[in-house]
Amino acid sequence: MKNKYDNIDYSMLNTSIAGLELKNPAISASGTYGYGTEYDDFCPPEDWGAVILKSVSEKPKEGNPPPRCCEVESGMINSIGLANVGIERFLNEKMPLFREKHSNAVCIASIAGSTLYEFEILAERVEKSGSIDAVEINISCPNVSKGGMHFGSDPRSASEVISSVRKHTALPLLAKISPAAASPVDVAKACVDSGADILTAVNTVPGMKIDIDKGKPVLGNIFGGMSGPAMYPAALRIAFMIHRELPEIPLVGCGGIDCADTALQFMMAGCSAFQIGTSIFRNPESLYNILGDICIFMQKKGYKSLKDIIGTAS
Amino acid sequence: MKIRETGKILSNIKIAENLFELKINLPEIASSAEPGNFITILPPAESGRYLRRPFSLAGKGKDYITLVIRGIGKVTDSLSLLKEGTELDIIGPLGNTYPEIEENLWMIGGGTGIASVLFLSSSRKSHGHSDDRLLWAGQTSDALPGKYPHPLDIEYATDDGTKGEKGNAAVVLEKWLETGRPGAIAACGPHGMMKAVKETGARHNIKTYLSLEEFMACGAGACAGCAVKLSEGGYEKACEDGPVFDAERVVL
Repeated sequence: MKNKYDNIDYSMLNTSIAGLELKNPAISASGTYGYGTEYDDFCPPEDWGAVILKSVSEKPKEGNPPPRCCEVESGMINSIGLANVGIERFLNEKMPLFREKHSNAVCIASIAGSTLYEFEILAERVEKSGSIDAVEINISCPNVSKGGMHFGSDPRSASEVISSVRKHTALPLLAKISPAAASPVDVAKACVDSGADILTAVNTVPGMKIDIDKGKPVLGNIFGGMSGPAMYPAALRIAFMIHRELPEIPLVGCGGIDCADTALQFMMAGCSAFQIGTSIFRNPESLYNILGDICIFMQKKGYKSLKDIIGTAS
Repeated sequence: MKIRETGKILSNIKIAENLFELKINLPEIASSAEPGNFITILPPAESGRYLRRPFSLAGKGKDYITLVIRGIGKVTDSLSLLKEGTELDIIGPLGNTYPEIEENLWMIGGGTGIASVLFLSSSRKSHGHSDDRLLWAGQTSDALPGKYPHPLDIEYATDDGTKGEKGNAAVVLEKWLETGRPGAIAACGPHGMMKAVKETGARHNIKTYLSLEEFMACGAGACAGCAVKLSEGGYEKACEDGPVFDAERVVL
């Protein structure tokens, strides 16, 4: 599968985000790469710039009732419901297993709380573990104290989460912006003002599907988050807008990237790195095609490093 | 070890109305595949679909695997039309396997659910199990093959009695139980059938194993999309913990 990329110098793909040195700009999106060992046979963590593991909460979560996912045009909708093993097992079982196999990979934990207190505990535990390089904050979690409204839906509650986490860790913080916020740019600004080092734009787009034979919603949870190539223009727009407002803040593109073309679009919009998610499900070796094709594009254009690309369209 | 392999279609034969048997050349996957395992196929471009689709293995030879598929959507429709020599992007073998069962086993397949128990029954026959029974249930005779060559004689049942015994899988299973009793039951088929077989197995106190189908996104244990509800509470993943489950452990 990698033959056409044999003579490529991948060192031109080096990038850095808030002091995190990445060998390439590709990062696995949270929830699509498990706990970092599930895809060892196809695209192990060392081959990524960084990997973001499945969101972890304080207590284990069993997740939403099935069906939890379905396909839509050029994408899918999921309502996994943050099913995860909880921070205890995450740090005592999953991380040691990950580090035993992948000691040198850049590993980012994704934390998901339903209260500010839970976010604080998660930040503290992750910081203390010493095995994690950065933290992505999943601010699209339902806020229990506000009737389940997502923390990321308005600047104020997003800011509260980031401040709480910031107080408990010195690790680089990524805030994952929701495209469902009234103004994702205002939420992004609030996150940066509260201590986020890096922004991820964006999380899945809320959506649903109805089975017309049964006359019922397909997903057990009715609503889910849409991902896949169909959503990239919506995600790209938000990334572009955030970079225009906050050009100094390292930005990570996320949403429907499954080929070099869309990855390059996000970088030209101002992203220093990008996440690959749903595309892994379709082709667990898509990472190599994307990186290889980016290099071929750069060689063709005479670009020497990603600096020649990042933000050029903004 | 999960393997991604390009497989050439060796044959694609219509065996009943809208039912197809595909043999695909996959030497690496075939060498380690066992009954219960499944593969995922990247949808052919003409289907316009994005995510890989899981299919239980219906058997294997030295360098190929066999599938039984029914055209029920864009991906299966396009697979059913593929010609010999077409290449497919396949990952496997995935999932768990049926447990070793020393005593005689009754196997039941409903519709394309037959795939999983075809593989299990041929494998057991080659390992010397000679008291097994295999039932292939369908709604009407059109849905079932006229004659399907298999090492173990296949018994048939249809809801309307147009082929084999009259009645659905659970009704026929009850009839069989009037004159005999297996060491265990293994079944794969539509949700309603699985529920009925589970209840019958429990009523007669016979260990029952079910191969369950759930929509999958990753098929690799990473996304937790294919959740199967457990009677003890919580969920397990059909792709990694299954697809074969002890019927007592799952809520259907």
